[in-house]
Amino acid sequence: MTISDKKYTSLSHSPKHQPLTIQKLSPNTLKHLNKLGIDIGSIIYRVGTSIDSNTLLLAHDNILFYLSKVECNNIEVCYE
Amino acid sequence: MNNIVLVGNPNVGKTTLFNTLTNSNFRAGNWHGLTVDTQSRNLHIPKSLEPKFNKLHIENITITDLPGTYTLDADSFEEKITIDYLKKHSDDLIINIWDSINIEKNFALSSALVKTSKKIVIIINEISPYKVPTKILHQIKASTNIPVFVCNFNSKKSIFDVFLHIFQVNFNIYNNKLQFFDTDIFKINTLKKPTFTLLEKIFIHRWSFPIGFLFTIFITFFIAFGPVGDFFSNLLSRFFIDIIGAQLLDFLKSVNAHPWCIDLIQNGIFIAFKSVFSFLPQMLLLLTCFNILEDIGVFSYLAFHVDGLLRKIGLTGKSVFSLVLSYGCNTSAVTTTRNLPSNTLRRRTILLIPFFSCSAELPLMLSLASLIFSKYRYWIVLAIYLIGILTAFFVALLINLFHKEKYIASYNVVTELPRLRLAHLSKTLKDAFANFKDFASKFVSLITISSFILWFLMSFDFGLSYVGSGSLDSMFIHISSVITPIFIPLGFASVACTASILASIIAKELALPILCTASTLSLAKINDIFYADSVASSISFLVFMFLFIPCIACLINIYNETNLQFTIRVILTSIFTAYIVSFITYHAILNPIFLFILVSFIILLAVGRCFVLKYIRQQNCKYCSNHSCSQNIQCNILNK
Repeated sequence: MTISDKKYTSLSHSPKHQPLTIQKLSPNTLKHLNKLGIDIGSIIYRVGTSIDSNTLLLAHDNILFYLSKVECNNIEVCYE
Repeated sequence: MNNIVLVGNPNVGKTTLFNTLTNSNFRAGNWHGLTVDTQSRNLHIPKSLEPKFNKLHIENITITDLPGTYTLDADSFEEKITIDYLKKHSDDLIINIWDSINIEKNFALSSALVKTSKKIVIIINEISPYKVPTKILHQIKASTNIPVFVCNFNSKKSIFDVFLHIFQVNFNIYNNKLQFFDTDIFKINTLKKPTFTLLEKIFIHRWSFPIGFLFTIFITFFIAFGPVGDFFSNLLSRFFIDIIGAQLLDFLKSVNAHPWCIDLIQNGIFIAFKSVFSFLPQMLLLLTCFNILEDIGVFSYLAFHVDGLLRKIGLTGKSVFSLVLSYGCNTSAVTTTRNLPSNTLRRRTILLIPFFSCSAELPLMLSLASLIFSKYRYWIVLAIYLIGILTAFFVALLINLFHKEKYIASYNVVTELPRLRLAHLSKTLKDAFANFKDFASKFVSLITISSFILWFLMSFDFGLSYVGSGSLDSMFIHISSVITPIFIPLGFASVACTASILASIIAKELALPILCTASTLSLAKINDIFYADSVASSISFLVFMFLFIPCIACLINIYNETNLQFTIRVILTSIFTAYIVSFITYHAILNPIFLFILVSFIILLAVGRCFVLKYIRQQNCKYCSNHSCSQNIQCNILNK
């Protein structure tokens, strides 16, 4: 499986798009990401999509986590 | 050092370590938030290691297992339990458990624990194939003044060797430093791309997952109810009929026992025992297979894939854990809802738990399915499980239609998913035997008392005269005849069925033995109790039993976790739903036109709902005033 087809990263790594304002991610999401040791600016890979496409499976190092698409839409600008 | 507490992130292996250290058998699985309460037990040292521990004067050590937490300022229910415990108790030693899958993830909690100024030891659970790089281990050891040990929690010897070292640590030479966690030396581990095993690749993918999952479930059912299960079941059944039954009857006749005594043992206690114990091998196989799937981590991937779907009916992927656990035991499943983020979500999940019938009802399902549909028994059992899932889905959908959970999108938007791993066979077998032991001990005590009471009610009239087992003059027939007519529309209005339903409220284990005892028939003739159409009646009966209210122990747990009003709501919802679904099942099997009308009605309702939703979506969003916006919930969150 090619896992680097879609990659999320922060604005500083993504020259193509408009700046990502971290305020667009809900505080709840940011809190959870920080809990997992993932800071804004970390490289996150998309590795899977749920059956109904409404939840995405993301990976940071060996941590796998899933994020509802409502939240993912807000970081879509980070696609490389 | 008398009190040791185990603290760590969720799913790092705390309960596995706790079980090994204390020789306990608390539930441990490959998903997050399985432990939702504190457990304390004494350290149980293996006899071979006793001399070594005795030299160190180790005795009366209490080990406490706490729910997993990521930080010490968490806000979820089970994380608060851990935080409150650490604040209130002054334990002698905190063992902070890390897992080797991602070292960096554990830093946040460790740095918070250091601030508590308690004695801390770090144990890294080396989960295969994620070895702790020697370089990283040296860096951790060199940069901190906290003792660090590495061991594999699947190895009992390795665990006790580490503990021998821990008890010899001189903590006076250690001085915990807060700042070590802020260094960048560990970043070397963070930019590595994740790699996946073949099984993970299958279960991650949106199309291969349903095929893989359904195949896994099919294999599970085939093993449990196929040739392997049948072989052991027949073996045990023959043992009861040919050996125990015949010997018992001979013995009673040889000692010239009174006819009512022979009647009590032969038609009361013996039938009850035989009916359930014949199906125990199949039950044991099914539980073992489910334990293996749980240990591998398959259910976590199910949670991920159905998360979006469940959000549409007011639940989240996390609810799947409690619902899957309820197949084992409804009572413990109710407790695990504590890891859900809101009270509304907890209550909705608890309301659905009775529709996922516990394993104690399996003997009843297996016996009827085997006797009436011998060739298609797998499909009948599978179909009843499917009816339970569909019923739960529709009930949740209806509740969500009338009482929409507005902030569902903000709950647990980020949830960690464990990596799939090989099941630890000895552990899963141990778990399955523990379940079996619980079931057997509970069953023996309950069944002996209840069989005697039931036999008494069936054999004596209100004047306390012996009238013979199953006589029309018995107290039981008179009492049941009052309730039985309620079940006429469902096709199983017999006294035996009524007795079985009533007995299942006390304990689900009683359903089959009471059905056999009350019908005063052998198991081979059990289908005779279903008059007229035995197929439709028996399926209707099984569906009713599957969806009917959980046992008293579970209801008490629901009351403890919620309140009396909600417990009554659960009871009424279960009874009403079981009655309706059983009625539909019975008439759908008898009359396919009824099924056609029902399906058409549901399709019409679904189409009507789509039109209503389309109309609503044409309205401007009340938060952003955008005509095309249909995400009022999202706007609401952003506005916050």
